[in-house]
Amino acid sequence: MVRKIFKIDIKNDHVVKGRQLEGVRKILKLQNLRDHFPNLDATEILLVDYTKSNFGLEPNYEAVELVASQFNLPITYGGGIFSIEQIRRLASVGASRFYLNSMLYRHNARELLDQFCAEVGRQSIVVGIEYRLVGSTPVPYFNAGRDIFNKDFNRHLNFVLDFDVGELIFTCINNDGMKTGLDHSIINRLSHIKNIPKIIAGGATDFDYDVQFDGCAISTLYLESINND
Amino acid sequence: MARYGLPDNVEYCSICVMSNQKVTPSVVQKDKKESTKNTLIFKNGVCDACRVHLNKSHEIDWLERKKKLEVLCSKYRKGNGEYDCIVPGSGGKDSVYQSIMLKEEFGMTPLTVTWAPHIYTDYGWRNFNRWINKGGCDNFLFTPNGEKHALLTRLAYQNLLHPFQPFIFGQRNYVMHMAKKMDLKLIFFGENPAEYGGFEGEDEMSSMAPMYYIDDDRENMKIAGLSFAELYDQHGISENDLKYYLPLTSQEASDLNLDPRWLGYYLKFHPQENYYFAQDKIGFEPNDQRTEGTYSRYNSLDDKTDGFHYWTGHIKFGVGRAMHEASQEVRNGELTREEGVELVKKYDGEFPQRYAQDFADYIGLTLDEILSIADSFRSEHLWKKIDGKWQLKHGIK
Amino acid sequence: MIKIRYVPIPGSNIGALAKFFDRMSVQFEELLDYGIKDSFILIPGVGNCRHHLDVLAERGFTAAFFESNKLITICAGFQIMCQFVEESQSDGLGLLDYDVLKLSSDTQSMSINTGFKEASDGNRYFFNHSFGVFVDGVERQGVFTSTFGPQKIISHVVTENGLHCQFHPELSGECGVTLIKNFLNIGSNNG
Repeated sequence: MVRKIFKIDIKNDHVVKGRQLEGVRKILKLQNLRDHFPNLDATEILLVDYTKSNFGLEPNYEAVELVASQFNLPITYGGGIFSIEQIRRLASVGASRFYLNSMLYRHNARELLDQFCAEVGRQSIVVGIEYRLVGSTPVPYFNAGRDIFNKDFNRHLNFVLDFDVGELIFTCINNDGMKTGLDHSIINRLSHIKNIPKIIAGGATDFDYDVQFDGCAISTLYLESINND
Repeated sequence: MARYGLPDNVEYCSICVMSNQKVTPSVVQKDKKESTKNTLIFKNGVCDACRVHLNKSHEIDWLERKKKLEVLCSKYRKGNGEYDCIVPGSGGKDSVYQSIMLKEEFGMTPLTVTWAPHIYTDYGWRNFNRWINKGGCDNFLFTPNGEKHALLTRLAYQNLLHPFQPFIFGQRNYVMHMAKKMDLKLIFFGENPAEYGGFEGEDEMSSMAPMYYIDDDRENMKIAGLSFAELYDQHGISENDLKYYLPLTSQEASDLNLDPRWLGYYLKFHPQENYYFAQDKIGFEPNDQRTEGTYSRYNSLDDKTDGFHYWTGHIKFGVGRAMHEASQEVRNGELTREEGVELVKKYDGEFPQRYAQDFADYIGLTLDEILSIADSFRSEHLWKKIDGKWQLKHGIK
Repeated sequence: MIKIRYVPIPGSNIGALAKFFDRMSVQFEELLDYGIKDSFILIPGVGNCRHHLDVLAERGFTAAFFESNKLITICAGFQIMCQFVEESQSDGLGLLDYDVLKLSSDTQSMSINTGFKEASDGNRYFFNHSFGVFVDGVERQGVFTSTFGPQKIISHVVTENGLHCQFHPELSGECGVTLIKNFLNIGSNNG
C-alpha cells in the first residue's frame, strides 16, 4: 500500500507554501495545525524548512516540537541539518527521521552520514533529490532548488546510493505547488533501485493515485482546504 | 573620506537590513562620475523605507485609495476596446500584475510597452511572450539600435560604473514618447521607487515627479557621463539617435497633458504575491537557479546584464542585490531581520558569474578590464583590501 | 499516576515519546536512580543497536537490571533484548530468545521496512527498521507478527512484565495509544 505523507513546508512558526520551491506564502500558524486537520488521513508527516539551509541557520526545532505535540505520527524533518548534535536535538523534540539534501554537497558528507547512521540507524536517514525537468531531463539541485548539484542525474543518483541511506524522496521542482500532477517519468530512471523505499513529491492532483513508488508526499492538496475555509 | 557624497559612517537599519549608503533615485540625465548622491534618510536608526512601509501598513486606507483609482480610471476609460492607458513593463511579475489588474479589475484597455533588455535570458523571453500571449494586452517592444546601445552601456560602465544608466533612460522615457505617438495620457508605472528612499514627501505622491521625465536643459544633459556634443564628436552618436532615450521637453509634456501615475500608490504592492499572481495568470516562470547576488529566483529575471547593475551598486555603495531584496522581504514579513542579515552576509555582492562573459562580450571589454574599472570606483570609507581581497570595512551585523 | 522512566540514548526519539506519554497523562522522565521500582522502564528506539549497547554498557545497565523491572522496549530497544544482533555483530542482552537479522542484503529486495503495516492483532502500526526478527514457525503466546515481503517478522511481544515492539507505538496513531494504554493498565494491575 502506498504511504501517504503530509508534506508541510515551514518557516519559523508558520506553514508556508511557495511555487516551484520559490516563495514562502504564509498559510497557517503551526500551533493551529491540528485544528485544521483533526482527522488527518496521512500516516506520516514530512516537515521541511527550506529557508534554514538556504539562510545558513539552525534547524527549526520549535516547529518540530509544535507539530509533535499535536500528532502521534512519525515526523521526518529537513532543513539545515549539518551535524549529529542537530540530529540529537531534533530527536529530543520529536523528530523520528531526518531529511537531507544540501548537506550532501559538503566535502565531509560521507563522514557526517556515517556518524548519523551509526547513531540513529540508516532507516532514519532520508535523502531528498530535488530536481528540475529541463525538457525531459531531470537536473538535481540543492539549496532549495537554487543551486545545481550535478547536471547528470544518473551520476548524482549513484552518488546518493553510495551513501546507503534509508529512503529517497524525489521532488519535482517544476511541479511543486502547481498541482499539475506528479512527475511519473522519473520512475524510468529508478527501476534499478529495489531495496530502499522511494517516495515521490511535487504536484499531486488527487488523493487517489496509483503510483509506482512506495509513497507520495502531498502538500498543496491538503493546504487547499485551509484556503477554502 | 567618503566618495559620491555618501555618509562617512556606515549604519544599518534596525528594522530591515538596508544601509545608509543606499542612493535614492536620481535624475539620470544629471549623473556624473563623482556627483553627490542623495542617500536614504535614517532617523533614530530606522531607514525611511521602513518608515514609509509602516505608514503603508497602518496609516493608509487602501479601500479609499482603490476608490481613487476607480475615479481616475473612470476619467480615462474608453470602454470600446481602444487603448485608454499605457503600462510600461517587461513581462516580469510586477508588470503582469499591473496590466492584468488594470484590465480585469478596473476595466481598462492598457497598451503595454517594453524597452527591450540588453540581452534577454531564455526564461525572461519566455515570460515576456507569456505576458503577451496570455496576459490579454497588446504590446509594443522597442529594441534600440544594438550597436549604439551596447556602446552607451560600455561608456556608462567606464565613466559612471553604472551600466544600466542608458537602459534606465529608455525604460523611463520611451513610454512617454509612445504616449505621445498613441495619444494616450494616462500612464501607469508600478511602485514608486521613492518608497524605498526619495526626497521628502515624494513617497506620498500618486504622480511621477515631472523632473524625472521632463527636461529642457539639453545642453547640460549627459548620458553615460557624456554630453551630446561629446557623444557625437567622440562616438558618432547624435541627439537624434537618442530620441527615445530622452525626457520630453516641457512644451511636449504640456501639449500632451500626460498623467503618469504610480499604481503602487493606489494598490498595495507585495512583490511575492505578485509572483503568485503572475504564476496563476500566465504561468510565470522563475529563474531556474538562484539569481546571483541574492537568494531569490523571481525578481528581475529578463536581462543577462542585470547582475552587473547590482554588482556595481555594491562596489560603489556597499549595497547589493541581496540587501535590496532582503530589506523588502523583512518589511513585508517574509523574513526576520536575523534571516535578512544572514542572507546579506551570504550573497550580497556576489560576482554575477553566470552571464559575465555575455556582459563582457556585449560591452566589448575583457573581464579583467571590467574588474579593474570597478576597483577604481571603490570608496575608501567602505572598502579595505585584506590578503589581496576586497572586503567591506563595515559589514552588516 | 503511572510513571515511566526512560534510558537516555542520544539520537533516540525521546521528544516524540515525551509528547506521547504527556497526552495520556503518564509521567515520563529520565532514569536516574536504578534502585527505584515504582515505574516502568522504557528503552527507546530510533537508533543503531551498536550505539544502544554501547550506551547501556557505559551507564552500567545490565541484563539483570532489566529482567527485574517492568519493561517497554521499542525498535532498537526491543532488538537489544534479543540473543544475537547481526547489526552490531554481538550478543544482545538475551532477555528474549530471538536473533535479530538483516531484513535483506539482496539489492533486488527491499531492505528497509517503513510505513504502517498490519500486525496479527489486527492493528496497524508504524515500522521503520532495517533489521528484524523473523518468525521461525513456532507458535508462542504473546508473540504477534507482521509481514515483510513474503516473510513474517515479529511485530511485538507481550510478556508478563514487558511490552517489546519492533514498531513505534508512539508514532502509530490511535492504535499505538490503545496498545500502550492497555499494557499500562495490565502492567499496573499486576505490578
